[in-house]
Amino acid sequence: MSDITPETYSDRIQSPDDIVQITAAGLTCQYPNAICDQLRWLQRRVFYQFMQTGCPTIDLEADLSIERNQADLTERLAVPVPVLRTMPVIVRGSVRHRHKAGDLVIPPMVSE
Amino acid sequence: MNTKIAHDPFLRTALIRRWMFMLLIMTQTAFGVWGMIWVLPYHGSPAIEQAILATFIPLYAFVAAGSWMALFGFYIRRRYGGRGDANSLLARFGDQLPSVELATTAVALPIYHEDVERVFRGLQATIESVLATGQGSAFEFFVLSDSRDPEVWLEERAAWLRLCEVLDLHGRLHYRRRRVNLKAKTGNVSDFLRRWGKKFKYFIVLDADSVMSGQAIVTLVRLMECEPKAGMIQTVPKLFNARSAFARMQQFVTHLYGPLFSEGLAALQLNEAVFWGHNAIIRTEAFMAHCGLRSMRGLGLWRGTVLSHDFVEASFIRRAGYEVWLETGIEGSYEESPPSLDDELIRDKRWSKGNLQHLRFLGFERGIATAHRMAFLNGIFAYLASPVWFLFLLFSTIEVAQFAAGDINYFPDAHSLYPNWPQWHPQWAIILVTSTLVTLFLPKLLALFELLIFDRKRLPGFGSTGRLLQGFLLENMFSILLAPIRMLAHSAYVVQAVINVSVAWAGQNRSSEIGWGQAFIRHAPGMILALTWSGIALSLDANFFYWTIPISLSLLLAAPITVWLSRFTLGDYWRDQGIWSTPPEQGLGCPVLVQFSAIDMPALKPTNAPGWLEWTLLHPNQARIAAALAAHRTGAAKQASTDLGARILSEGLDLIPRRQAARVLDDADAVMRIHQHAWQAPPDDVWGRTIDTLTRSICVR
Repeated sequence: MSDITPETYSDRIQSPDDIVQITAAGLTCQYPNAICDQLRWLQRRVFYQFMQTGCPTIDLEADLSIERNQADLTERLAVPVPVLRTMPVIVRGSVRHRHKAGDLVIPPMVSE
Repeated sequence: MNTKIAHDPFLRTALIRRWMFMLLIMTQTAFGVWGMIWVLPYHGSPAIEQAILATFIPLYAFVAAGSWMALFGFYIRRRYGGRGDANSLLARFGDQLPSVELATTAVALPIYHEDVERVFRGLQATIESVLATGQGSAFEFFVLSDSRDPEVWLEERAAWLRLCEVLDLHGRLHYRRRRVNLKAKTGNVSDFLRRWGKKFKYFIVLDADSVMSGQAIVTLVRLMECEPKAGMIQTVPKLFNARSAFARMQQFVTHLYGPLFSEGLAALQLNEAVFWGHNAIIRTEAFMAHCGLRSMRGLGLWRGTVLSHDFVEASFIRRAGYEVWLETGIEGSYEESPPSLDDELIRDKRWSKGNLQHLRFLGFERGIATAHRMAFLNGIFAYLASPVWFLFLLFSTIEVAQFAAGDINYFPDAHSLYPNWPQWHPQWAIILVTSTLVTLFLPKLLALFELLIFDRKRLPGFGSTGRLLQGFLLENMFSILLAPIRMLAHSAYVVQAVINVSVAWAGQNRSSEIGWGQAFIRHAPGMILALTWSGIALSLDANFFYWTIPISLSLLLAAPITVWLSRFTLGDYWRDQGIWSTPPEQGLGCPVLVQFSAIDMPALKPTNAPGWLEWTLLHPNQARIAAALAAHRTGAAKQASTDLGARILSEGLDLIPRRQAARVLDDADAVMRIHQHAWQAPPDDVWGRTIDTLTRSICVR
């Protein structure tokens, strides 16, 4: 497969013979790391897109390309931090404890 | 009293009503004491009988006060056809309300470690209801969080953002978390006022479990505009959304009996009512000028933060010349009940300490209105009544024990030359008990009578007449069973408050059932005490033993009663049977409750997703929002968060205490650095493993 490059984290490329081995403990199945890597990057890209947009686009054949998924993910990670309108502008005041009565805060009566 | 209050147009009416009220209580108490003196064998001569009388007098007066209050309420409701007192704001300004323009008003919701889903459901229902009035532009909404656990406040923040999206309220629905939560809820609200109070003419305070209709909120603002002397207007919140049997019972109580008591209270207090801490509107400038609460500088209990701040704030704003009204006629004000007796008692522990702190304001604060001093006294005695009742039972047991032991003293008065023969008057005991029972149950019977005879339009809200009566009897049975349990718990709380055992300030449990182990551990002391007391009573006198049964039986059954009543299944079953039906359950409540139930609240993150801190750092949108909301630190603070970010980057989150790790959210750069690193990390990196686990967890159902 063309995607298996040193960029992946596989120690080595496995041949089909490596997948199933007869050992002293019995039959063991080693899933090919290459496929794991491809799926990992597909998974990361798809889930990132899913969490970011709520709707991932998946073309399984095309998207098994590690470089493609990494590039897409890098692009998505570069989305800038938005500017959020959060709290209103602070208008400083104080909360006091007064023994003596102050002037009543009487607004004008609202007319019809 | 200052001159402004001296020219109070309601003073004359208030004084007439209050003196009449006091006179009735004192007269009834005098009769009760007279009866008690006849019941006591030595008619109050020896010290033990004087102690019995000393405890009996305040207890009887307190019970009589509650009863006369309800009678006042009954009279006012009948006199004005259930429309409320003629002096109330609604009665005076009701006609002109529709034409009154609204002033800028903040709706503040202080929260501390609450159920996030429930809080935001209630807030959404309230805001939607306000927007539906067409007056939404007059309001801004503030969620004021004091939560410290990042797992809670990050969820709160996510819920706030979702609500901003859903209602398109960016810039008008705000979320503020205090980093240093000094002075609990008082400090939280004060902090809000210091920063933004000057922007708003009024502010409405909600509780975490409050729901208010838009109509109620708009009415409050308009009433404030109509009555410039009003400093606070308190609504009467009714309970709703109860599921457990206990909560449904409390809900039934507030809907059936509540109107009588609140009407009576409002009629007596008039413009010197109290503030209950939420579901009320406050004139911001007046509050900021006069209601700041200093930390107390006394000893023990009377040192530090004022816990029950609401009564004190009402008394301060009144002292400044403003009026405080309890408006019973405003519909659409709701709150929830604790789901179980144990949860109610946990809340009472905090309230008992807070109310006992009011002794300082009752006795030593200058310029407070007499009505507010009486409100303080009433609040204090609401809890102090329990140890007084406990002492009454103790002294009565000692008196019986003395007789059982044959310790009869014919000269209880050392200065008397004549013997005092002990006399027993069982007929007086029966009359006294009967009169006490009538005093206790008359308000409830009146409320039932009013509903069945005069106010039948409310009857469908309670189901059929048969079910209403069944619910009434059941509620009375449970209230008798629960009274001694509450008495013992409150007694312990009063003692703990006096010796100043610290009270943890925590969010209230509003949703869980009580387990058997928890119930038995909590109520074991009461059960042991009941067994011991009844055992002693039986060994002394069989007749006395029979008198102890109602109290000791309920203490013995405390654990099963608590567990049983906390069950949602029982609550649901009785609701299906029509027992303890209330207008909201019958679909006859305010539309805001329908909105509340209908709100679709999707989960803020997948069930199997990691904790909120990890989720915030890894989620594409949450991380950016966290970065956007990060405080702009400089200097040492910036360096500290940068160092923390570097540590989290290399070690992951597992080895760092959660609250410490959450400080990384103060640094926007660190947040985005961790986020970008994690998604690109190799699988053997700590963050690579975390991302792989995260993506897998989302798929697991």
